[in-house]
Amino acid sequence: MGGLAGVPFGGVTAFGAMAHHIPDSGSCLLVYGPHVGVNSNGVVGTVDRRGRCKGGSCCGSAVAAAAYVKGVVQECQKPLCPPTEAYDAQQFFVGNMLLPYGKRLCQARDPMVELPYALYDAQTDLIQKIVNKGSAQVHGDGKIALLGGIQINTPPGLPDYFLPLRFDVLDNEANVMEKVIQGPPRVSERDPPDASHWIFFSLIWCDFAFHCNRLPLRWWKVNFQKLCPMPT
Amino acid sequence: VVESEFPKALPNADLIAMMTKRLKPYGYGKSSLLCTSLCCDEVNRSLEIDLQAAFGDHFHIGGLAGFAFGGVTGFGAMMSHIPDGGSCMVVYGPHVGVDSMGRIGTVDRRGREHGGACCGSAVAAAAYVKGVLNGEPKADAPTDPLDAQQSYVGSMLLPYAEQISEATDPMHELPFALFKAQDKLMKQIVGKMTGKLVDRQKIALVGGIQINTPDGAPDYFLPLRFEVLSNKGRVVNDLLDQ
Repeated sequence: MGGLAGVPFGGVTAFGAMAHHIPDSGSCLLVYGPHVGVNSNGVVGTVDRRGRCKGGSCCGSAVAAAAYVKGVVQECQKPLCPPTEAYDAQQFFVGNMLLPYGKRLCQARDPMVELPYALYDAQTDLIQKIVNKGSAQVHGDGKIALLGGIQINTPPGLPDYFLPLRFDVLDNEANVMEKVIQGPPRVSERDPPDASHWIFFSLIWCDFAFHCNRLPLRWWKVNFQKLCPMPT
Repeated sequence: VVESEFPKALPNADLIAMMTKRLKPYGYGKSSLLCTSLCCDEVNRSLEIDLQAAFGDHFHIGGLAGFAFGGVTGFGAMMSHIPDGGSCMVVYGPHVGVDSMGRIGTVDRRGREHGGACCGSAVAAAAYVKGVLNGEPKADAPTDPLDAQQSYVGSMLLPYAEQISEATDPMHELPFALFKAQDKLMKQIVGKMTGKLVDRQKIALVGGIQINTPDGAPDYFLPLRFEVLSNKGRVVNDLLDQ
């Protein structure tokens, strides 16, 4: 039921149809999410493509939507109106769904890394709305397993990856029965902190390093950078 | 039933053999990219799997009922992935089931005692256009993506409401009406994107109706359009009846 950028554009109708195709007494598993390429030079947001000298954007729809969002948020361009025709409606909706994440994208250290996380959040919101409306179409004791994350495309010869950010089992009233994994912190928690946070965390780090100086300094630096990246 | 109700429909294997043979003179081969626009119903994956085995991984722009909802952006992205100097082929169209009792518009489904509508989205859209034909109000254009595709399927089927309602068997007529609507959308998309290719690159359009059958029988495809277009969108050759 996915379309451009991985958005579940099949919507409520497609979810309902899928639910009606589940084998009797069975359950369904819904895997969803955006994708991002990493090319053979390690550049995020692009990918090597079969038979092409130059790879290009990956995901192209997402990169186009991010450019639209940047135009609206930073350059005060007027947001587009909903389309009356279908011939490019999906891309409008991708851009529109990404708009609430515009500030986050514009402030990110690497917008190409942030983009799939923002898209994932937008898609999770839509999936939730679809499941809330369509879950009753799953009959009997049927379950709805939701595995959401980011698909990572790599050069030929290497395995592709999937970063799971959510793996929940729901009943047919859309209640979460079990969280199979605890996803990593939301992206907003990983955003670069402002200067006051930086000083605060620096003090903690100094104190922590003093008491734990038997560990290699590099280990602390690497892990601290992950927890609290330098403000840009 | 397939042979009598959908004459000239080909088993998937024959369709692929025909495509391979007729497209070879136009340079189709290792430097080609396959694009599909088929409905998201899982019964349609077997054709894609067969096509992929012959032509490699596909770019998909299809949504509910097989409409090319990836649109201009999806088609443009697909064109930018064609191997350097190569061409693309687009396989598109609606689908219809024929179950083991020979009924059109329904299909046997794995693990289910009762099959159900096939194509479900198309059958729901046919009910909507019948209602509008009988005086019920038209739905507004969608403003959010929650169920936008189904809304578009209904609105694009509206011009064919009389054709469906006047048919002896509306379930047989429905995929033909849907094909007309999808062909129109495909031409609209291709028309906006043809200038993006270089001179020797081509676009092959293979449009028709996919026919889903019970387990053990091959699926079929009834070709209704088979054309090779130049990079400017001009029809280089009509390969349908060759």
